[in-house]
Amino acid sequence: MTLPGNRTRTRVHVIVLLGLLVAGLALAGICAGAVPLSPPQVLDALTGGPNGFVVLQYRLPRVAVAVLAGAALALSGLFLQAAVRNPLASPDVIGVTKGAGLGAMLVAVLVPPGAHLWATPVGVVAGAASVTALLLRFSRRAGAHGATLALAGIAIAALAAAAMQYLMVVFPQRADQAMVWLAGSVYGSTGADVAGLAVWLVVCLPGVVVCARLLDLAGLGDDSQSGLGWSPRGIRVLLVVVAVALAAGSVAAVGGIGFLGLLAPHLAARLAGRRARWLVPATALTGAVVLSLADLAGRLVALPNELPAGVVAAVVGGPYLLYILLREARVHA
Amino acid sequence: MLALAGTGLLVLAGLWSLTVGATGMPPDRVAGALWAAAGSADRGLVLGVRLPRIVLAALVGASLAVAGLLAQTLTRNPLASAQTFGINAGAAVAIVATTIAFGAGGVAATVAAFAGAGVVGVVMWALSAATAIGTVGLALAGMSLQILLSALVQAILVMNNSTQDIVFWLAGSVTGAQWPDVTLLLPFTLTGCAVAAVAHRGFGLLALDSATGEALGQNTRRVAGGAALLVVTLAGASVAVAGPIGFVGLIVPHIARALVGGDFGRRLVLCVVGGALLLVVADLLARLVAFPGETPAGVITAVVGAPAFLFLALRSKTR
Repeated sequence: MTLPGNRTRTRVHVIVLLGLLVAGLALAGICAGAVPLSPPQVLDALTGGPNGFVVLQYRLPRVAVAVLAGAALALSGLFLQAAVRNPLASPDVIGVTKGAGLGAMLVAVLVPPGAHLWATPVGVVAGAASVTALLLRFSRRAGAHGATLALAGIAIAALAAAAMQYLMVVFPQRADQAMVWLAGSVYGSTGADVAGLAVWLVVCLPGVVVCARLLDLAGLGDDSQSGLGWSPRGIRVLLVVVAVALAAGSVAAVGGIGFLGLLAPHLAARLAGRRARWLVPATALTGAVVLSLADLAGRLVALPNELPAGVVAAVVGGPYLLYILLREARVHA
Repeated sequence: MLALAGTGLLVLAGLWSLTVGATGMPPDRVAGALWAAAGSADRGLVLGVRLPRIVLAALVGASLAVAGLLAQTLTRNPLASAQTFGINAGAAVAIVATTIAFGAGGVAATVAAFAGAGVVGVVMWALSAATAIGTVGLALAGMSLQILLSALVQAILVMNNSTQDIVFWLAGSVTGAQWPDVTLLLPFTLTGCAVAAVAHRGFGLLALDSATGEALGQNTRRVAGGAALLVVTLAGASVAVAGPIGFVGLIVPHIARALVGGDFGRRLVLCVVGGALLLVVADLLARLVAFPGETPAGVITAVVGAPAFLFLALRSKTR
C-alpha cells in the first residue's frame, strides 16, 4: 500500500518539473533563432542591453504567446473531454476551431483591412460562440449523449468548413491571408497579442477555477451527479462554455493549432493522475510545454525557414491520436 | 425500375450540365457543337472541357457511393463511409505529400493515394473489430482522423504558398477535369462495381454477424478483407482524380435503403446510379451558386450531407 503523503509528494514533483520545463523552453525559445543569443546575453537584453530590440519585440512576445495559448488550448481540451466523456474530444474535433475560423474569414472578407486588428478577435469569438450555441441547443433537444454531441460538433464543423471554402472561392485574395493565419503559428506575435490573450485568460480564470472543482464530479455518471444534487446538464454546459472561451482566445492569438487540446490532457493524466487538483495544473503546463516545444522545433528543423507550430503539432499529434485510438480498441476488445 | 428512372435523370442532368458554364450555350448550340468540324471552339469546349467533367463526376460519385455501401455493410455501421472513416483524407495527405516532395503526378499520385487510403483503412479495420467501441465511437474515431489529416493537408499546402489548391484538396472538386482523369479512374470504378456485383451475395451476408455467415458456408474473413480492399481502391482512385469529396458515400446508401430496403444487390445498383446522379447535380449546382465563379462540388455535398450525418448520428445507438 502506498502512503498517500508519498503520492502527493510525487505529484508535486511532477508539477514543479513541468514548471521548470516551461521556463527552460521559454529561455531556449528566446535564445534560438536567426541570431543565436546566449542566456547571459538574453538577461542583459532584458535589462536594456544591445540585443534588447530582438528580444523584447520579437522573441519574448512569441514565447509568451506560445506558453499562454498552449496552456489555454490544453485546458479547453481537458474540459471538453470531461463534458462529453470521450477521450477524443478537443476544440478542433468539436467544431469550435472551424467556427472561429469562419468568423475570422468573414471579418477578412467583409471588414475593411484597416480595422482587422480589433475586428478579427471579435469575429473569432463570435464564430466560436455561435458554434457553441448551436451545440448546446442541440444537446438540450436531443438530451445528447457525449459522443453524439461530438458528432453534432463535427457536422457543424463540416458546414462551417463548407462556408469557408465558398468564401475562399468568391474572395480569393482576402481569404488567402486568413488561410495562412488559420494554419496556426506563433510567428510574428506582438506585445499586443500577449496582452490581449493575457487579459482574456484572466477573465476566464474564475470559470477555470469553477470547472476545475467540477472536474472530478464530471467523471461520475449522470445518476451520481443528480444524486449529489447537481444537474448533469448544467455541469456539461458550464464545462463546454469555459472550454470554448479558452479555445477562442487562443485561436484568436495563434490560429488553429491542431490536436494540442487532444494531446495535452492525455499526457498530463499519465504524469499526474486523474485527480482534478493535480490534473488541471499539469494539463495547463503540459500544453505550454508542447506548444513551446513545437514552436522551437519548427524554428530549428528547417533553418533559416520556419515550419508553423501548428504543422509540427499536427505531425506529432497524428501518431499519438493513432495510439489513443488503438488503446481504446484494446480496452474495449 | 427505380434504377432506370435514376439513369434517365442522370442523362438529363448531364445534358443540362453541358449547357451551363461561363460561355452560355443553349441546347441547340451544344448539339451543333457535337457535329461541328474538329478544331472548332464550341466542339473543343463541349467535348474537351464539359463532357469529361460530367463523366468524371458520374464516375467519382458512383465509386464513392459503392465504397460507402461496402463500408457500411462491412462494419455494420450506418455512419461509415470512406470520408467519415478518414480514408479519403488519408489518400489526400499521401497525394499532396508525394506531389510536393517529388513533383510527381498521375500514376505515382494514384499509387500514393492507395497507400494513404490503405493505412487509414487498416487502422479503422482494427478499430471496428473491437465491437464494444460502438457505432458512434467508431465514427468519432474516424472523423478525428479525418480532421487531423485534413489539417495536415492544409498546413502542407499553406507552407508551399499554394492556398488556391487548398479548396481542391480539402473539399474536392471536378473542376478542370480532363479525359486522362477519366481514363485513370474508369478501370477502378468498373472493376470495383463489377466485383461488388458478382460477389453481392457474399457481401450481403457481411451485414449479418459472422457466425451466421460461416454457418451459411462463407469464409467471412476473406470476404470482409475483399470488401475492405474494394473500399480502399474505390476511394483512393476517386481522391486521386477529384480530391476528398465528402458525404456522397455516406448518404447515397441510406437513400438507396429507404427506396428498396436492405437487399445488398438492389442497393448496389441504386448506389451506382444515385451516386453518379448526386455528384453530377452537385457539380451543376456548384457552377451555378457563384456564377460565373466555380465552387467545389465538395462544398455542395457537404451542405447537403452534414445535416444528414447529424440526423443519422442522432438515430444511432451509442453502444
